[in-house]
Parts: sequence; structure tokens; C-alpha cells
Amino acid sequence: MKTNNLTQYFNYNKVEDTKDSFQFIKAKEKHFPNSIANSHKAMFLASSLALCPLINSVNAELPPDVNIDRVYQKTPRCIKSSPYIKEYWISQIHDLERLEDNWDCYGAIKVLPECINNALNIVLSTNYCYIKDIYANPNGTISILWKNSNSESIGLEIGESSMSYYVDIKSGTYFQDNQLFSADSYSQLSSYINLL
Amino acid sequence: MCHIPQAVSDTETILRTIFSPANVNPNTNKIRSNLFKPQIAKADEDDNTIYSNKVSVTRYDYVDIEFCRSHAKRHSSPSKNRNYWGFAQLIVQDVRNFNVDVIAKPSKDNPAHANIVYPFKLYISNALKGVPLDSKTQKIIQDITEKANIFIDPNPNSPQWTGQSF
Repeated sequence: MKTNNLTQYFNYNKVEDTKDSFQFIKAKEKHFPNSIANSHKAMFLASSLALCPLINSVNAELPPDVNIDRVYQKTPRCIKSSPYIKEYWISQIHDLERLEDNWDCYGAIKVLPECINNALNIVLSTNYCYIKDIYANPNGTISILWKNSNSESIGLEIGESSMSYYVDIKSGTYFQDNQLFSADSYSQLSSYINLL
Repeated sequence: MCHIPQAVSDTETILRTIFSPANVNPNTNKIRSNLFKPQIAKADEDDNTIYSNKVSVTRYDYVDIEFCRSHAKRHSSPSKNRNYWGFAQLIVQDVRNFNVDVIAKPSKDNPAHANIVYPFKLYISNALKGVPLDSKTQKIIQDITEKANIFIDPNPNSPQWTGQSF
């Protein structure tokens, strides 16, 4: 992977983000010892170590006032098929924090901080391979779209205290509403995602 | 501009302005369903007891593309990276097939304005900020999004539309 590509696409506070992600895993492990695979932890550790020097150099170059220019950037080709894809989606979620009111020109409100945290937890707890997009909604929530090559999809909207999603797969379409954030609901969502 | 009937025909073409990057997936250049999501954290323009269940569109059969472009550019904010990017085109029948209506709502700056009206009513009692839409409505909005034809404006600063013809 080329250094230039990485420095272009990881944002200025990535070191902090990665640290936060790891702290989340530690906290979650304490409460749900079996819910986080060791491989995730290892991946985060490895990627944090690998990226730290690189990201520190980015930190020095970027201006402190980073605006929406950095939000919704194209996934670099080098990231798409690499183990860094999870970090990429995590950084995309963090970037949504920077959206201001009326980010869609139609009067949308800012993304709510609790929705950011919930979206991070979901990306860290579920299979991220088929994530096609992560984006903000006008009412401050976040959507994640999973889609495979057979056009089977899962559309999830993440709120402050609950989530709802549809599952559109060959065997039928399923709807889940008002799902609270818990190990059980993550597990159910994961089982649907694994069908893709 | 010709006379615009109040009744919206099933065969009419409607356009919704796409702004980038908010409404466009940069990896696929496909539009996101947030383009067709109503501002449900805000009161409805016609009924202040419910949250908005509408999104704005323009009835293209009664205007020309330059009207749509200038209207879109007035609402964009390039300085804040909210750029006019193009239009999503739908046939009214395609929307109504999902039990979602299209109703004329002329405005001062757009006499061809109409609203896509979703069949849900969320009464204003509790704050709806940060509350997800129900999954069936999400699916309908995703399906409508996938029905839309996308017309990218290749040169938004050009005085004339230079993109694919509608």
C-alpha cells in the first residue's frame, strides 16, 4: 500500500479514532466476553501500530478546521480489498460528525452524537464485508446499506436509542422495527448480514 | 411557462435536485436514499400537528431544464461544499405504485413545485430527532430511489444544460 494513498484518505484525528475503537472493544469485551473476536482486536492493534507514524505526519499537515470537504470521500482502491476497510468505514462514520445543519440543502439537522456511537458499535460488531455505503439522514440518524452481488440487501437506520432495518433476500423481505441496542439485537442483525 | 393543472397525472415526469456529496455515493455514483427521505425532524408544511412526510419535486412537463438548473443552483452552497450535482427523474406512476402520492404545491419561486407525500403520519408529541423511520417506509424509499433515473450535470457552470437529454 502506498503511503500517499493512505495519507490522502485517513483523516487528521485517525489516531484518536483508532484508540477510541480499541477502547470500545476493551469495554465490550468486559461486558460481553464472547462478542468480540480476538481477530478484531488483533487487527485494530496491528493497524493502529502500522498507521501511527503515518497519521502523525498527516496530523501535522492538515489545517485544524476540517469541513465537509473531507466527508464522503471515495474509497481508495487500495483500501477496498484490504484489512483497512473496517477502519475506513469507522473514519467515514466519524466524518459524519462534521456535517452542519442543512448539510443536504433541504434543511437537514446535524447527525446526533449518540447515533455516531451506535453506528460505530454496529460496524465493530457485525460483518462489514458487504457494506456498500454509510450516510446521514435528514433527522440526524445514520444509515448503513449492505448489498451483495445478487442485489440482496439490508438497509439499516440507526437512531439514538433504537434501530430499524429491512432485509431483502431471495427467500423474502423481512422487517425489524424499534430494535434496542443490545447483544441480542446485534446478534440477530449479524445473522441476517451473514446470509448475504 | 404554460398553464399548470392542479391534478398531477400518472404520466408526468418529476425531478428532484441532487446535491453532492450528501446525496451521492462517491464509490458508485449512485444516489442515496436520503435524497427521498422527508425532513421528519421538522413540522409538516401543511399540518403543524405532524412531522413532515413530504419531499419536494418539480413537475418537469411544465418547465424547462434551465429553470430547474437555476432553481437548483439558488439552493446550493458551493462555499460549504453543498454542490448542485444533477437531477433524479421519476415518472409519477412509478411513485404511486408504492402507495405514495404526488401532489401539486405551487410556490412563489417554483409554480411547478409538487410534493411526494408518504403515507405515514407521525404526530408531534415527542421529539423525533434521532428516531429511525419504520423499516417498511425505509424499504419504500429505497425502492423509489432505485427507480429514479440519474442525470448528472457535467458542467454546472455552463449557461446551458450539456448533459444527457431527458
